[in-house]
Amino acid sequence: MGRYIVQRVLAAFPVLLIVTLISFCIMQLVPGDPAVVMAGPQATAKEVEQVRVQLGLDKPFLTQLGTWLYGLLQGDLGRSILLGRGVSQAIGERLPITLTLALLSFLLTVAIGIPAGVIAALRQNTWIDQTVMTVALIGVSLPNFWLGLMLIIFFSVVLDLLPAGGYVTLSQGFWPWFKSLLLPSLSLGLLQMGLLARITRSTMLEVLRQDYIRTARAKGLPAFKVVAKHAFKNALIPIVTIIGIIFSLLLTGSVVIETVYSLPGLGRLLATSIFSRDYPVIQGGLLLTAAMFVGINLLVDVLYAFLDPRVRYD
Amino acid sequence: MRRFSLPTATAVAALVALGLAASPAHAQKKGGTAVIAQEAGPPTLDMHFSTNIAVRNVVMQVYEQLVTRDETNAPMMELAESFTESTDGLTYTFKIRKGIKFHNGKAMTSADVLASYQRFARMGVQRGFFEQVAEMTAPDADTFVMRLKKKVPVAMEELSQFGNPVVIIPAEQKDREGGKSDPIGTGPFQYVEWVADSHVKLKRFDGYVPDTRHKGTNGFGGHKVAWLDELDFRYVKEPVARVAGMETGQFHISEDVPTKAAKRLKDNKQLTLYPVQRWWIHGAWVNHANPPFDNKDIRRAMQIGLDMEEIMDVATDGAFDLQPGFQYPGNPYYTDAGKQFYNVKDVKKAQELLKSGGYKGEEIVVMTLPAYQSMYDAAVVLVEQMKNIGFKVKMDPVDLPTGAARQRKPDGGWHLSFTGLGTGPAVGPFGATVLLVGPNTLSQKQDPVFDKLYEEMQTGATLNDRKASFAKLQERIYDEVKMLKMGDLTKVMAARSNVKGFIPYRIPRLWNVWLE
Repeated sequence: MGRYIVQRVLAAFPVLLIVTLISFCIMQLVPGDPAVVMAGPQATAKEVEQVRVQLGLDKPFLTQLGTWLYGLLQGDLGRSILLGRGVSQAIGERLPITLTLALLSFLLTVAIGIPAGVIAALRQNTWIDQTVMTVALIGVSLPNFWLGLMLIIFFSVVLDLLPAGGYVTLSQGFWPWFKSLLLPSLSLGLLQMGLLARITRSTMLEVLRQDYIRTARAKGLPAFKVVAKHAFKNALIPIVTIIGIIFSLLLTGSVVIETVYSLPGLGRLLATSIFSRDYPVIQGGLLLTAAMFVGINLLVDVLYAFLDPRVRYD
Repeated sequence: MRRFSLPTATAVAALVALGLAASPAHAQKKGGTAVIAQEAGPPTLDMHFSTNIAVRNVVMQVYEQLVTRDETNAPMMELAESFTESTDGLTYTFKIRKGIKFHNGKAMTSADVLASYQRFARMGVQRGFFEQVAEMTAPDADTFVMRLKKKVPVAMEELSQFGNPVVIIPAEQKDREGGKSDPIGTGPFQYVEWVADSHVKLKRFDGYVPDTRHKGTNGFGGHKVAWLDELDFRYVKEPVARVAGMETGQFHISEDVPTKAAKRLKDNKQLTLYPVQRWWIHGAWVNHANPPFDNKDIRRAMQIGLDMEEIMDVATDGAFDLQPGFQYPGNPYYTDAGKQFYNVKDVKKAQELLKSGGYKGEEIVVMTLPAYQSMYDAAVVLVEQMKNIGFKVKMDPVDLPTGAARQRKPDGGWHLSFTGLGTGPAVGPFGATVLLVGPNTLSQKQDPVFDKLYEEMQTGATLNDRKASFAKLQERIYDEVKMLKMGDLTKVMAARSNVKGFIPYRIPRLWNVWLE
């Protein structure tokens, strides 16, 4: 297992390098640069060019790429053009907010999505099954930015229960912190909840039809034990795969939600950087996102071995 | 024409500004934090290095200028006590106000003014004027002298411009590169914290010395008192979230409320809305470099066939004014020159011109910015109107950096490029027209006649001379169809009703403002 993990980690480096190179090239091909943003839209061409030179953006493509790669080899993600600080520092400041948001969404997703799917499977073709699946379908279909706006209007403006946006740090109190993240987590998680409920239902249905489940029931085992110990545990492998993907999607899906709710997380940093062409931050953010995807996939693969004794990597 | 039904703030702002803030009838009180929601976050806090309005909104609470603009947009003294102009018009001598301190506690002297001007001349975005400066000196602690190479009648207008203000910073920061100065000024609020894509926090500067020559708020200057303990500028891109935050009291002031929401909020007693008339000019640059717009007849066909009222109505939901000027009525340079080509909406004549001009059905690319809803909506209507005239048209929505980069290239794949001229026309006639001057003109074909008129406007000895040049310049914009002006957009600001003393302006002025 240890050898497998080391191999996977080593294999991740070429993947991350390719991600870096592709994203660097794409950003160079997109029109516009930070000089335009910094100088302002009403600056003349000459004024923008002067700013471009001051920002070092007039250097050739290969020079810029070489500088970036040289820094990367030394663990330096470079310096943000617009934030006035190192990319690592900028990301480090925002990552905890995004991770917290993703984690909270993830907990909501798992806590609601899996039980909903299991119940729907156990009550297949009843009104409970149809209600759960309808709600799940709505969850999957609603764009999360629209849902976010509706939740703001309902919970903030109409009910005046939760803030309309902004982030409150944990040091300012648990409830204010939790309230500031509750609507964003729900908006972010609802789509994934629907997805997870549907996958859990279909996987459970498949397992529940297996012979060993019939055998377990025939032996007179209590229904709860049949479901929890025999059915659910065996249904977990595809669910864990989906959960891994869901966590990755929650991490990257925060771009829209953090913008809607004005949360200063990694997603909004990336969105702002893309719209202002802050190349080093985009590069650093994409590299981190790719690394997170690779890491989560690796974690899921390792989890397989624990869940299914038949899976061996050695 | 004006459709918006709320009382506009600009009409009363000047009257209110000069008296209200200092009036003893209003019980100002110290304390509290004002949370200000603004659409965009500042990309830098270095005022010398940006013309971005998001920067100005925040940073002009921190910094002051030697000379600035008053409520009527005329130059006024701020950190300068007085100035004299030599009889040959080449030397300007400024006396500096005494007792002014920077936020770091250091006394401000002419050495700081000199260093600030030298830094701006080296790296300021709009430093063009300084090419005409021969020498700058600080002969003593209270005196700053600027000598010009040739007479520049509009020197005071240039020095007081607020598009890229020449703010005064401590001399120690003279050699800092663009974007790397520390936000230390002499203004009523001082810097606390900046999280770039989140917020900026400022606090009251207790060592601030108000300008006692004035009674209250006056343009960017005047008698400033910081009643609020703290200012918290939050970057809230999503309009629904800004409006919701205003309704729930999470924010105290919003610099921009969508017009549709403003109509709904106007009966909300917890809020006061401030429509600021003529916030920016809605328009589109016209690229003369490519067919069919290299043909003036074809450009004219488009110009006279469009219904600007319909475009502006859809784009702003009724919050607009129709007038042909590239300056606003009431401004000293205002003129309606070229009005015969504005909002003509003669489709039949346009179709005839299109035919006689030899239009061969080339596709017109209309580049617009969806980040600005009004620009996108205006483009949708414009495209339909152009199709109705007989043009083959394609809309091309892009983000701001893409649009700004492409519109600077004649072969950038565009014929019309939407824009909003906000600060430029507000600063004066130069800002309104400078983007059409020289080889880098956004109409993509240098026009020596236009360039000569622009120079005449800069060098005209009297205001009347300069006004005459500007009128010819504006006439030329219409005659050559360098830009399609659609109308003047009204921007709506909002404040909670417990925010007192707030007077809307080109920036949210937060001095002389208090919470009840």
